[in-house]
Amino acid sequence: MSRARLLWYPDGHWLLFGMLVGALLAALLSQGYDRHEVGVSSTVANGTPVASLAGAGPLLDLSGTSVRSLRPPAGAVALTFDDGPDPTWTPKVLAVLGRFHVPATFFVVGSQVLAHPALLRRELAAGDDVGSHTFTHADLGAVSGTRANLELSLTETALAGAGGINAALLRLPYSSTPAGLTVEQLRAAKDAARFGYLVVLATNDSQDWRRPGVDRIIANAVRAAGDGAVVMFHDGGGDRAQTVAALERLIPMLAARGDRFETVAALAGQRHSQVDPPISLGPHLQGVGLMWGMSLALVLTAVLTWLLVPVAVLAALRTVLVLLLARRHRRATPPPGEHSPAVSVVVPAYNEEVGIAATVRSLAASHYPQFEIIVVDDGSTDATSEQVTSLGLPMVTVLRQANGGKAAALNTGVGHARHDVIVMVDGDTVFEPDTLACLVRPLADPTVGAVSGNTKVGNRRRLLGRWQHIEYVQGFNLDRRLYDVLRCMPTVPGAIGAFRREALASVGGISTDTLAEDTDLTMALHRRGWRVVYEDSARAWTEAPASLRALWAQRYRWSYGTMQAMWKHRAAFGEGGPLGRVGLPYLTLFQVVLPLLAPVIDLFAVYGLLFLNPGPVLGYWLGFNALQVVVAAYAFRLDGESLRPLATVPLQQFVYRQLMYLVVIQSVISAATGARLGWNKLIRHGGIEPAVPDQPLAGDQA
Amino acid sequence: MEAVQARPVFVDETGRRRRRAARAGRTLAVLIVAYLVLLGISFARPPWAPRLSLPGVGTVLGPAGQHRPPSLGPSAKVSPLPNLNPAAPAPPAPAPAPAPSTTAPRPRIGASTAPTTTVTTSASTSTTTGATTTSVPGHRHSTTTTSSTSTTTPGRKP
Repeated sequence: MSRARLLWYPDGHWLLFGMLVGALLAALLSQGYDRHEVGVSSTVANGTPVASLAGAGPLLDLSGTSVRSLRPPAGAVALTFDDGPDPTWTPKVLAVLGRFHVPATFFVVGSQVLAHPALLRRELAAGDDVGSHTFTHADLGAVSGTRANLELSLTETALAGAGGINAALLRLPYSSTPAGLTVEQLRAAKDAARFGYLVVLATNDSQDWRRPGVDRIIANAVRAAGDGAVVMFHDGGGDRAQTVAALERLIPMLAARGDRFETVAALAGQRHSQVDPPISLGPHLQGVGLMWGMSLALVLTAVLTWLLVPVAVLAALRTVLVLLLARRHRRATPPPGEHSPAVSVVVPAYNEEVGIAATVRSLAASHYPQFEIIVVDDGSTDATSEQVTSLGLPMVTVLRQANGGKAAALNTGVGHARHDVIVMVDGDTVFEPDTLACLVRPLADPTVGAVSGNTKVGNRRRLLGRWQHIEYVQGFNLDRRLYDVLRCMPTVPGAIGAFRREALASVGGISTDTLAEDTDLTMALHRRGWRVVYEDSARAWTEAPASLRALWAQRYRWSYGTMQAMWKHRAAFGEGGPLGRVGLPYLTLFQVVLPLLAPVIDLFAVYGLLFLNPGPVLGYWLGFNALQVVVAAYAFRLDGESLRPLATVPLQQFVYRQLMYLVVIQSVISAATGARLGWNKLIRHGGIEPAVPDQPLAGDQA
Repeated sequence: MEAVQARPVFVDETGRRRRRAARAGRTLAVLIVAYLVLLGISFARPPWAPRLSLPGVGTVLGPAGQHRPPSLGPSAKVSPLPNLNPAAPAPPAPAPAPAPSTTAPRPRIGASTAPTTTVTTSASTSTTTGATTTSVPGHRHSTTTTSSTSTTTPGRKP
């Protein structure tokens, strides 16, 4: 592929893609905040209790400079329930309360409210009071002020959306009686009071969250006869069967001795409409929006999680397939016999003055009985032709034509070729002396129409070159062996391929329909019934793109061109050959679908590091990399390469992997939008920018 | 896509597909922005709870967590607590039915045995006066006087 063309890029889609990724990340993060950090039910806080509160009442008004505490009136009992609403236990608690006609106060967790808004509405409909218990059951004394405010405001938004109310009562998670309130919690409570909250503690902590048994819960909940009480239960955060059972006995028991049941609001002399006042439309709509947003986040997270499954399955499947079939290929390939027909080597060249001389010299030095070299100068604007003619080699012919594209140049070359075996070589590729002999040997089999050689990366000293080296070694030693065994080789690379003239003629030469004329041609050969094989001993050395920009342009062309060729030859699906039965499905799955799903992995990596235990996340990552290194090592061994470059495999996860899938996304968008391709605008890698200012350019020389 | 093979593959000369894609893209962009703005507002707005007007009830424990035995309280700070005064005409608070705006609230029986509900705010608490509170007409039922706990002692353990 010695050509660079100006490609039309769809507008704005990267902005959209970025926004999409941002929205997905925001969804994941809000979802992670909503779900992951929910604290456990407990009424034990770490810290030093505030000594002066030891004798205080359970209601704390902290809005002034001094702390005021209120005590429930004698004989009044307020039942309070924390950590709900819970889809299992809240209805059971409500049922018991309803049966005894007893009011209660629910301190709800905001994230639970978002998940079960109907339960909140049932509590309000029953005449019960609702207060805030933070958004994620956070220990407000232990988190930053910003986080604490977020915990309060998100809960307010949730209550506004689900119940249309704004709650004035707050119970701090991990708080129980005033005696147990820590210094940190008191500070957090005072901060909350600045926003208007009345802090509600308890006189009796039933300790039901410990599930100590029904008798124990009841004993914890009962005060001396005649004393007022605020009793703390939990209707969420775990199995609350004991709580429900305890209520069944406790309520009639207290009623029998003359206690009255009240809401916390009533204890403070407030009406329900004062502690849970209705909210105006604006905040209500915002709350509804948050509910929708969180629901959407939930759905998106679920979808993304499920997408991880096909990604993992596909990746694993490919690894297994490739390893098994590469092994089989290695065993099954018989040592090729002698076959040395006369060969015409065609080298299309456009502005290749830098590398063309080396290419032609290496070809001319081939240990091969009879061959000619035809260099087709496709309207170069540099000294490409001069470079070749100055070599003064007798078997070399230089043809010049007006610029018409690589396919046209190849067709010109094939038209002038005198022999029946055509070898096509890119203008920046160098052959080893015996490459030509190895490459044409498989053509001894008359059913073989084309042979793919083994392309090696020459410039592998820098990181980008090394990554491509790893990729090439795997691509040629694993994937191509697999294709060979399955007889569905999708591409004979432009850098090194041998063709039977008869086969080329049978498909009408090289088409200009796609950007990947090599893939297009190979698929056409398959459909004509020709076998296409891989010869790993035929090595050609190529120069890989040295900049990310050039690599991007090359891969975009390959990816888009392959999709074009697949679409063009989609009829092969119904033709029953190995291309339609195996090749196209394989390409679709592993070169289109898998890369399109790959960003999910990166999104989850961010999510996992932020919200999950980093240990397992890191473990998966290392395992994934280890697998990659093992696969790559096998490929390297097959090719007799040093294993040292494999040290850079983990680094590939950060730039290279993303580039590989972004290019596929770009290609799919180009295909879907019917992107127009600027043919024949050819730019040398590292060359001058073309005089087409408003279009991004794609240039490379790989 | 087209049944007839286009040359070159995928290219839509009319630009119709591109326009349609651009329109879809813009719609998606608007939805995404709306979603992000919504999340942004929800995560950025400060908390705001309705301020209850508790007319100076309760025991003063002293400034911010400093220990101040309740017994000391009444002298200075408690003065502005009208409803602690038994005689005072109870705060307006517990007045009439607080009927939650929603559907039929559970009909409350105070504990069945105790037909009277004290709604009083005033509740009690420890003041020197040892206040028996006025009970106010409960919204549902009658009233009662409640003996308050008048703790002069440094607070009982809850």
